[in-house]
Amino acid sequence: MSKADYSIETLAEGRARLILKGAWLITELHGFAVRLRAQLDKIQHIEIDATQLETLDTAGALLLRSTIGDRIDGDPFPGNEKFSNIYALTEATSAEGVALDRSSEPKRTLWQNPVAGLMVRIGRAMETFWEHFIASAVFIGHVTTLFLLSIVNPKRIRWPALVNIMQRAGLEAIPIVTLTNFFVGAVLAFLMVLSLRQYGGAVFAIDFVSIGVLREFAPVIAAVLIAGRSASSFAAEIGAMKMNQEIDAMCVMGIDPYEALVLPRVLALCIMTPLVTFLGSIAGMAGGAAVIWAVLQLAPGYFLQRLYDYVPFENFFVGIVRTPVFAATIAIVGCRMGMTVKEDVISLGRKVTTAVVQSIFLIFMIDAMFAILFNGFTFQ
Amino acid sequence: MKRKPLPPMELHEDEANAAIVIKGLRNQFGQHVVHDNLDLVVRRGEILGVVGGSGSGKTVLLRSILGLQKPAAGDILLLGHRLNSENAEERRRIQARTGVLFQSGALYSTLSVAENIMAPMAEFTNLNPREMRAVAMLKLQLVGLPARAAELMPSELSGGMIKRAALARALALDAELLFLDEPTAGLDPISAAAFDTLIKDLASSLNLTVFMITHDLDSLYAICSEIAVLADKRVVEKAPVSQLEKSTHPWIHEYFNGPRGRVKA
Repeated sequence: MSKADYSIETLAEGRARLILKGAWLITELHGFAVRLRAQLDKIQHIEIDATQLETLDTAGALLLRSTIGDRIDGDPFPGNEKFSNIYALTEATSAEGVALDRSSEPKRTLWQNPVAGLMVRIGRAMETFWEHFIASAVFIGHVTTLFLLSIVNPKRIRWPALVNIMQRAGLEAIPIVTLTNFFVGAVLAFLMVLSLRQYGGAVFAIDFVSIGVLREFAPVIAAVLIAGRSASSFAAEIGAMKMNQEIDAMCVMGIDPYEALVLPRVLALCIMTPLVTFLGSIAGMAGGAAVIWAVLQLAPGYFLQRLYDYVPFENFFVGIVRTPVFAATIAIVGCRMGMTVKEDVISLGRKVTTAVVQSIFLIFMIDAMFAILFNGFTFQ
Repeated sequence: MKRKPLPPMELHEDEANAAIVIKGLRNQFGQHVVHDNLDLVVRRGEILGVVGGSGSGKTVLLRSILGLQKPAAGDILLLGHRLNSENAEERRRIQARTGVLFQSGALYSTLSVAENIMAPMAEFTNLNPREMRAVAMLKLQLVGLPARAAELMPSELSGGMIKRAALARALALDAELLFLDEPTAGLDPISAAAFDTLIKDLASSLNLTVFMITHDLDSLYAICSEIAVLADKRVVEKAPVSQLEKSTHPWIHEYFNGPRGRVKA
């Protein structure tokens, strides 16, 4: 198979013969259109000599038709049925924007004016924000209603799904949550010993590490890790089911997808997050105790005694009471994002990202609100 | 560690120039054997219909030929090359000569229809975007899609339109070897007939070899030069339709003489 080529033989004024050579295949034809059109610009009658043409594909035929099709004299490929058929395939194409010129390019729809463009973008952002707000409110309302209904009638709860998710989202998160808390507790202890030593009160590091871990660090770290693990997986699972029409299938079978998919996830996280946080707190304090043992030579027994004497129970309560709220936030954001996935993969990726980012942001926001709410809180 | 190159496959005279040669293919998933000692030769210019019961491994066979599935044993030559043992450059050259229509279309969901058709051209040719677009519009028209479909996203298409757009993409390079996985499934009879005519025309004018998995008896009768029947984990028979009608194999007999078959008693 030889390379695609052509030559032009001038026959008379305004009349030429185009000799096609080699394999006119799509992979060979770059640049031919421009050259052909320029060289045959003035010529009104063109004869085609295809005796040296080896192969012709639709791209080659299209090229011929769109550059010189209207000026070819007679049948371009007389006696060669194969080429004639291919050439015929390209017929009636030039009508609808197939021509090799600028008219077939898509029109620009972007806002050209920067000021107008900015205004449009702000307006659209506000509109989507409002839409999301309403949709979130509806979603939370739906889940709350289902939750209350399921308290009245526990048969509504899908127990197998619930237990399955409790294992995947809770139990399997324990190693990473405890390990992270252990390190954070250790680092906190180091920092506190470092600065409190100057006042001769390095032993207060024990109080600080325990209070810090119990009140803030353990709940937030557990929630952020669970958000990273579960908000994304909830959004991806439900989103993929939506793309696969599984949600539609549930609806037509009379299964409420909120009841079958969302409620077990919310409940599972609400049950597991406090438990995981509890283990995280213990690991965080263990990390602190290990550092204090190593740096101050105060044995874990001393740590425990001081914990018992100087760290009141309120600290644990204040920390653990916010975890179900975190859990519900993570599950609801994850599931809601999954439910809004459209039919393309980009939207799936975007919604999974949004689920993680939004739930982590909300965790910190809610945490700040709790910190203000429980400022100076005691049981007396 | 360097892999030892496989010895060249021993070919009969008529197999040396074939489009696809499969010898002793074995595919299995765990204990479940899909193909065992499967032999198949597809000559150039042939339109081969592949039929078989559900789960007989038609799609697995297609995937093995395309190199998407590593067979447990056996040898596959695609246009005279072993796809899996060639280097990347040679592999690409073979891939440029094949077009595939997957069962569910497999259009890239982030690209519009026109961009989907242009994707193989952008990969394998040096055409400028305007020329690629013109060829893409031509292919759209060839498969019977309106010009306005070019700007639609795959998620906005109906099932039949997805099939057509995917066929347009498979035809983008006028590949000499065309793999079609149930091309007419889900099309209305008129569109399916037009589809058949289109494939037949293209195949004869471009001298394509077509490997078509289908259950559409109309397609089998209308365009296939030969039919390969997958049963009992291998190709039990490969012959023109007129011969298969007389076959004594129970599955083939049921296929052509059953309540939906064509052979009238």
